[in-house]
Amino acid sequence: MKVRALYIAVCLYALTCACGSAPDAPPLCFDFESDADLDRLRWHCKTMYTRSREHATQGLFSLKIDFYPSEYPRFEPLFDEQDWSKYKKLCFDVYNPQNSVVTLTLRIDDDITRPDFYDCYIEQVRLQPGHTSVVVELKNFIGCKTKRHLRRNAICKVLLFMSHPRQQYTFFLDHFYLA
Amino acid sequence: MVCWKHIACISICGLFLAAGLYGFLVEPYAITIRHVSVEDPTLRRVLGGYRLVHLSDLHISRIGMRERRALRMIEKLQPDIILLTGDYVSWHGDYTPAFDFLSRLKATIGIWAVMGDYDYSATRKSCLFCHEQGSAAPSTRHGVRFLKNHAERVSLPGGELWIAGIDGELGTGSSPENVQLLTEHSGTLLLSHEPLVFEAVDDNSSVLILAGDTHGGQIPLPQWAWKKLGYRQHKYMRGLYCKARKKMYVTTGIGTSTLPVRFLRPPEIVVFHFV
Repeated sequence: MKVRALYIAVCLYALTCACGSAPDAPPLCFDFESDADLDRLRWHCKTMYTRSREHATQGLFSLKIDFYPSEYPRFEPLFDEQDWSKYKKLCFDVYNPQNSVVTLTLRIDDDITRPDFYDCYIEQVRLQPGHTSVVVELKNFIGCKTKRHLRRNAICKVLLFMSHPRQQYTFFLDHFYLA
Repeated sequence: MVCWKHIACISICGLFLAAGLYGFLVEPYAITIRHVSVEDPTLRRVLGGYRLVHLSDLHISRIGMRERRALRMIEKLQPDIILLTGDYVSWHGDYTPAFDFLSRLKATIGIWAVMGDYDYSATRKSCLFCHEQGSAAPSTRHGVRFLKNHAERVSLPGGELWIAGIDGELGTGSSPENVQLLTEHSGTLLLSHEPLVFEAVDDNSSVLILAGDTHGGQIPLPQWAWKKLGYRQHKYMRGLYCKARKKMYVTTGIGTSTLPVRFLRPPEIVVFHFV
């Protein structure tokens, strides 16, 4: 009797552990398969988001982004989880339908109270015409002026923007996630 | 034998009950028209003879009794210019009633507005203040011109009027350089949801700032009580503030937030007179 009770207890414990160790959903993951994804983006003037069936690399939909001529049209995902310390890479796919190379700027902040561009991570993303898969190593998150390592457990803002475009640019973004 | 303690206790409870009923059921709907005189020779020259009305903090979740009353009162005023300083919706609420309200506003010269923090609570819907759904085309839902950190010039027989607006989205627009650019013309009307912009404006700028946000506190409480409740007390709570050449009027607004209560802080529609 005691052996059976012990066996059941061990089984229940193993089951609990198995359920408890299921991986958490990543804090930042967009495949734009649902219209609700559009509510997880910050909408800015002079930037237009539309879900599109063109150039999807994950599922059926991508995000069509139109940047209109302005100072800094930008893509900004919203996320609650600021602790990125357990992840190694930020990945996303971009399709550039223009016939020329276009450069986007990726900006990542760990302190929203600091002055603009003082201490954030900046990377230029050069997009050849067609598809580009972008992988950013999180260990390289270094402040652009102070050269300090960003606090990866306190990431508060991610922007993908253009500086002062003089004409309208279109991109298709998909499979934006942390790995 | 009369127990005076009981009578006093019942009276105090009765007073609190009456104040509560008044605060929840009467005052939030008792919209007043407040006439404010502002000394400004430039604005008097340009706007003399015109009726300028200021509305703010509508926090509309439906077109109810208060909204209908406000619309009737505004229509009776026959405004030439209506200026609005943000917070048209409830937090994450339905935006349609607010668009409906804005579409019913009429003014002979025009209607200008800025957005408040509540209007950005649903970031995707906030675009509909300026654009048609699913399009970059301008909105046809209403005739309000939203100012997002820029100024517009209005030519009137008495001269040029500049109407500028600081956007109410947190972290945008109110940098000192931007505020200075927006207020470089004498007699500018600067719309800002947040009254703290008063401190970013140069003392010698001849500017009238119209602001809201505070609701006048909705109920009069001392600073320690606000702190206990977890709120900051606003430095510029309500009324007219002047420093050197700059001036600011902070309205108590029309709607309510957090609790639907007002006590000794009635909702108001402001009419400006320049002397």
